[in-house]
Amino acid sequence: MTVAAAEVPSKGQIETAHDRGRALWKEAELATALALIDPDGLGGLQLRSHASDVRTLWLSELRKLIENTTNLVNLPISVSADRLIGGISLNATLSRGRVVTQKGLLAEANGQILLVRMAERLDLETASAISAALDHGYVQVERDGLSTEDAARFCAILLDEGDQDEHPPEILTERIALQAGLEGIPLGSAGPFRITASDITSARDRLAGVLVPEGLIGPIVHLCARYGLQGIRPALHCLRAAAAFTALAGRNEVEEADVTRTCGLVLGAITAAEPMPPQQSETADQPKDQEPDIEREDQGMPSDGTAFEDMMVEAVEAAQLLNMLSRPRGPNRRRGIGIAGKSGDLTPAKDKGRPAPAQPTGGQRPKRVDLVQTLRAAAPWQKVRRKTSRRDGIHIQSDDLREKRFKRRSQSSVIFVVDASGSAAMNRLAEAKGAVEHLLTDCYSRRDLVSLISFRGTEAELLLSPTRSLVRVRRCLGDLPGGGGTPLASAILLGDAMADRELAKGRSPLLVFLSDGRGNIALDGSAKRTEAASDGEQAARHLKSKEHPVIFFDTARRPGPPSRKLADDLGASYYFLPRVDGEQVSKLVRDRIGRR
Amino acid sequence: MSDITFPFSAIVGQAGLKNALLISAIDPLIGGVLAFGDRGTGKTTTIRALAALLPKVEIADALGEAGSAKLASPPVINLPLGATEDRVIGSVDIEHALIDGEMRFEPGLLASAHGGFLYVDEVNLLDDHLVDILLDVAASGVNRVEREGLSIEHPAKFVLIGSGNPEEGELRPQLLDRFGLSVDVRTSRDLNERVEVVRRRDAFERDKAEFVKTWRRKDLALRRKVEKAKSGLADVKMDDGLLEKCAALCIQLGSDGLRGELSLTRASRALAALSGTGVVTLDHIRLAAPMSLGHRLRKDPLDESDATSRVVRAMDEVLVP
Repeated sequence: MTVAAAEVPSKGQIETAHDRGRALWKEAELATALALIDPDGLGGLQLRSHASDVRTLWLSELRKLIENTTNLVNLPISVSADRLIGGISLNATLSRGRVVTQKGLLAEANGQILLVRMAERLDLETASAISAALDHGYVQVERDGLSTEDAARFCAILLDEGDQDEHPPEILTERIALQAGLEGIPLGSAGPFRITASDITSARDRLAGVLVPEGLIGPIVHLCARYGLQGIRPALHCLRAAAAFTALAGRNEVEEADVTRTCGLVLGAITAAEPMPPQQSETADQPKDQEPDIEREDQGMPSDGTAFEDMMVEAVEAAQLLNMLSRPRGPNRRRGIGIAGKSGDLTPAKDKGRPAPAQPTGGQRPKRVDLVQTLRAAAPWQKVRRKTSRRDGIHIQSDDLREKRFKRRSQSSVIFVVDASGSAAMNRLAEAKGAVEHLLTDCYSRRDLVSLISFRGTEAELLLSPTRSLVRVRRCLGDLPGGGGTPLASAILLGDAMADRELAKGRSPLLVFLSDGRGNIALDGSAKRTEAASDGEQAARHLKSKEHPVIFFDTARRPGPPSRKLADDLGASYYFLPRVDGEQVSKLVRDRIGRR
Repeated sequence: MSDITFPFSAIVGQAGLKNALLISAIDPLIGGVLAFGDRGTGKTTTIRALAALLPKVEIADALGEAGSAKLASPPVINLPLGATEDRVIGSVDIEHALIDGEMRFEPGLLASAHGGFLYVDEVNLLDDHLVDILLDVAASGVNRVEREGLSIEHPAKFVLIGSGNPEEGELRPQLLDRFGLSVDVRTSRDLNERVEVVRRRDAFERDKAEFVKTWRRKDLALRRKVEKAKSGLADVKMDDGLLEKCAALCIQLGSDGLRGELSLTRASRALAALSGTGVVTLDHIRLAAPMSLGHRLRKDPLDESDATSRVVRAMDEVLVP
């Protein structure tokens, strides 16, 4: 749709865009069907797409597939823990005069579809509650005096609207086998699904009887190992997807072709470009562990399966390509100044975060009643009040009311924006990495998050998305390239977008720039000095208008007017630091966080 | 936990975690087990499987009269992430209070776990204030409740078991140190082993009851072995020379405090009891050292080699016959 609108394309181009669209749509259709056939084995579907006409069409096709059998249960990403997991129902408890519990959304979704829009914004707590339900098939409620287990088996569908750097928490996506994308599908290429509701029903009935020949397992596990995937879930998911496909095709035994048809849906989006050659991964170089109790089963080597593996690799590569084409373009990377992103969402979550002890309201009408605490406060008086009023039910007076209060989430998110251009780049980056590690090793108890953006060449790049994991820091910041031009404006905008995103997640962002402040690359990537300077200035003012706290470490040899001015434009605290030292930077940053 | 769990003896590989769990079953005073590691390596599966192996013990109700102990399987209690404080430590029974106007204590998960195991999956995501409570109670063995006009104290002795993925965030060092044993769980690099893992998992998911039946005999045998080791633990012999070697190893590694040394000797004894010989050897210490000491090394941002290999290096120097 976009291609056609932009210019008059050649016939060949139309065909490619259309064909590509059709291929993507077909994959999405199949992934959707498989997710519905075996929700227990596959967990569900992660669908990457911005809200669009195509996605609306997909949703209505999904509804047709499940008509009369299954409901969609919407899970708002801002869901509170008691609505998600379950708790005490306010209305029912008050009107009936006894404690009435209410199931959470996870339990309500039992046997249904759990639909999560904007899944990329899910916080870790919500994501891990969903994951636990996917693992066990029930949700364990230990809340507000309530202790129970509610069945919660569902098919999770994540509508992931994130751009390149934004994903739903991995703790959840690793449990969801199927991946598809709708981005870049022209509306004309999408149409009604060919798979019908009755196909799904009969495939479900057939599924339990579908046989998976053991010989298929070896090659699948080998392939996952060659792609460097952790754990056994990807391999299990491949098996389950193939079995669901076999059931859909109306057969009873999984064949190699079923695996090659479906493995792309599972592996396409989670694998890096190329698998390791088969020989390399075959070497089992780990010393055999001494096991006092478990004797080794005698097991034959898995069948050779090389041709089969090659076919799977081909399928995965095709899926990787499709997946790349349908990856949503980041709106933040190159967007012009002044175009607000999702500005409506940028209010910090005031009523989230860790609950603080509930407080008596002194008879005032509370904003949010903490029901449980209110009931607790009222409990000892019930007998007396019933006697005096000669009325049944629960008697609550205004001085029993307790207000729900939340501690402002104290979690800070420190965003390093590091100049990796020019000659001092390597040193600056190494020390920035040192500062990141120092912050993480020293600040456990605070649970701060750290991310790192570096800029060099033509544009800024997010090297490390917000994390508090040293393991990830070491993995992502292994060896960093340096040198080249200074795309300062691009860095400021990316830092700004990152800060907005963190704020929207309820964290307090802090931007830390390490640079000499001499930008020489304009936003369009060209090396025009005047434009670079004015872009940089505009970007800085734009950032200042957001009032994010900013620290600017001037790494120039002498404190100079350009960096002073930049710090002013940014509204930043300015430090002159010609010899960057990770420990010192981390200390100053920590002081700044501590003051808030 | 109402679902059918994967049989312990059917778990392939993961020697470290399995040993650590068996040690905690044999000697609950070891101080808890932490399993940290890669995604999808079956940490949770292995930990949940332990319940079936636990021999019956004398347990008194945490709130009951003294001397009310009876023979029972130790409880294995799961603490979910969304749990609220009142359900963890216990609180007023609201229903009872509302209807009868009487304040009665409703015990929480800490009371349920008394005499058994308390398991926290994704322990690194647990709210800090809950973590503090857990640590405090796990260390003292007593749960004091002072809230809503209640003032109650009850015993709460349990083995704390935690698991998590370091990619979601590290654990605070204070918490790390409180765990007696800590195991690094990795994806096996042995392909045959991985194939077998998937094969068994697949078989289990197709027909859980049947799969469990196939492994029942092995689980029972292992359970008897744990039972025997438990009763033989007090008689395990450990040579003074080996005790000195343990001390030397801790000094070499510069692990903080006495806790490490204590865990190391306890774990070695439990392994000796499990092996049936009742005599601690260097091999037992070698198995026990990485899980007893690995998590107590000072973090050194400059040393990127992982803790286990640092322990192994030190063992090569110190633990020579």
